[in-house]
Amino acid sequence: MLFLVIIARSQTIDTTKIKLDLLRAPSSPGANLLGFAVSDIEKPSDVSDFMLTLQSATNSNSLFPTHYAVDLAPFWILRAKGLTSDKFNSIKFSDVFRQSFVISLAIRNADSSKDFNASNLYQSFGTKFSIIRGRLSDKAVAILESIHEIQAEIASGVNLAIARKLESDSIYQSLRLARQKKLVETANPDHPDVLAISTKMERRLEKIKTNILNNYTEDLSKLDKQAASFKIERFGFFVDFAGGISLEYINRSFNNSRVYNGGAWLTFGANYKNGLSVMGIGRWLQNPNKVFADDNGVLANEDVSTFDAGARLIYTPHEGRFSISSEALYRSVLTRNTIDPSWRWVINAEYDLGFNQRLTFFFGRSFDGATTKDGNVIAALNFLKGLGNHR
Amino acid sequence: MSKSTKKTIKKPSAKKSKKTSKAKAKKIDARYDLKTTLDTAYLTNNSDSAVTLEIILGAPGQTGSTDILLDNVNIRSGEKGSLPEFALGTNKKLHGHTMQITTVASDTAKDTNYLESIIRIRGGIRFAEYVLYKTVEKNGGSAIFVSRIEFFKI
Repeated sequence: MLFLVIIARSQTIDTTKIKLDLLRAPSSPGANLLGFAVSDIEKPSDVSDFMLTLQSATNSNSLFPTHYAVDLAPFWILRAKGLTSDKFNSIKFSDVFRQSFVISLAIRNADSSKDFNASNLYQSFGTKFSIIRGRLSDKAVAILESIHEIQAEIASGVNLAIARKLESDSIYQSLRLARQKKLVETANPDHPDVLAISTKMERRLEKIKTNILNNYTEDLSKLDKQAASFKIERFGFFVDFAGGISLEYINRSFNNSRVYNGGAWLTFGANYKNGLSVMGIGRWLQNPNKVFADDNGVLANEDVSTFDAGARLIYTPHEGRFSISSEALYRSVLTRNTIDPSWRWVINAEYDLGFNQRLTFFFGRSFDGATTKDGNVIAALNFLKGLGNHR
Repeated sequence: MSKSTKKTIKKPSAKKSKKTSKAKAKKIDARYDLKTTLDTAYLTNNSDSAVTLEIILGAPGQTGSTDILLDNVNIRSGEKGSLPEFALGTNKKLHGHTMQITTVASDTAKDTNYLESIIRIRGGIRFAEYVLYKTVEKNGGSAIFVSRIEFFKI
């Protein structure tokens, strides 16, 4: 991608400092505290999958894991019910919680990263879940209903057709009698002879099913199209929580540990059908034993705990190319009264020109005013041009 | 000239064959990563205690509907998602009957293409769990799981 920046002023601005989305909670709080990349986080789907990732991280259970992050969705790993899309429109806390609850664990050993002490071991634990969420959009509900309707039609048609066909299928019926005979002899459905017959019956069943499904190609293709078009879109009030804490084991000794860092994020807000989204956040971050310079320029080394409170307003007209958003964040250092609270705000406008071209403009004030020489104003006009297929 | 022509002809074909073998491997993986039919026997006893059925659909975010026949008689139709445990009948009565379950599952989850149906039967000689699964190649793909369970008294 070619990145062309036209600066509103004659000086260079570090655009990384004018990042929006500061109000977003991390998707994997535990792994995030230890700086793991999203692609490095394991997401096992069942117990055996989890054991496999653990076995790989521990070199076949012979070593303590040194670089391992995992996100566990306990309700899915234990195969709880109510996780499928038919419960997605439910706003009952039990459904919302079980669908969103994730435990995030990570362990990190010595490496070259400047943020970590090479002789220590780091371990973190985090969790995230939704407390309240909005309802699905009318479009999403309509697609889900249509999918269920087609599925129910196929399921009842195919089920009855298979049952009738098997009743008169001599091969299948003779296999069935043979299995019954073996069951009387062995009284064990897992006996190799019984299993061998069952496998033959399954093959016969598969063949008959495939033949019957040939009559449903149109319905199946319609079903696939509807399922591919399904997109989760929610409107209404939401409250999400994410939190985590990490420990640092000095010289990799479990007898000598301290809190390395921690954080808790409470995000809340509402999405409206007209394209307006309002979002707020309360965030607490703990960074013990940090070197910092206070307002008088004196270097100190102690625990730094910050509290951020912020709000974000986004307006994207339905299916529109234009969007405008504004974000404000207030930061207070809780542990040191020598450091004054600070704040920042940014307003961002974006217009999608099509053909992979985007025009963005932002204007605002940073936390410390360091991004510009005169005052706290930050401003830039960006033109983004993507190469490749036109979208 | 002829040499260079040969080269230009060879290159794309070699590339093509590499791509094709990769695509083939992917297709084979998808084909073998499945179990969509089941035919088994479930042992019952001579008691009047109930035999129950529970169906759990996955992965999170997927969409499915289930139809159940007991000896060609429809006992459940158009059931959305997972089915909480319910009684099928007593051990004694179920002997010799066959239950057929058809679930049509569609990939509507954004994180995975894995579709799964877990059938749990309790109350007979012992607890039984059967897992049917398929990883679909494309987003929105579907799987048709058909299971036949014959109740047999020993």
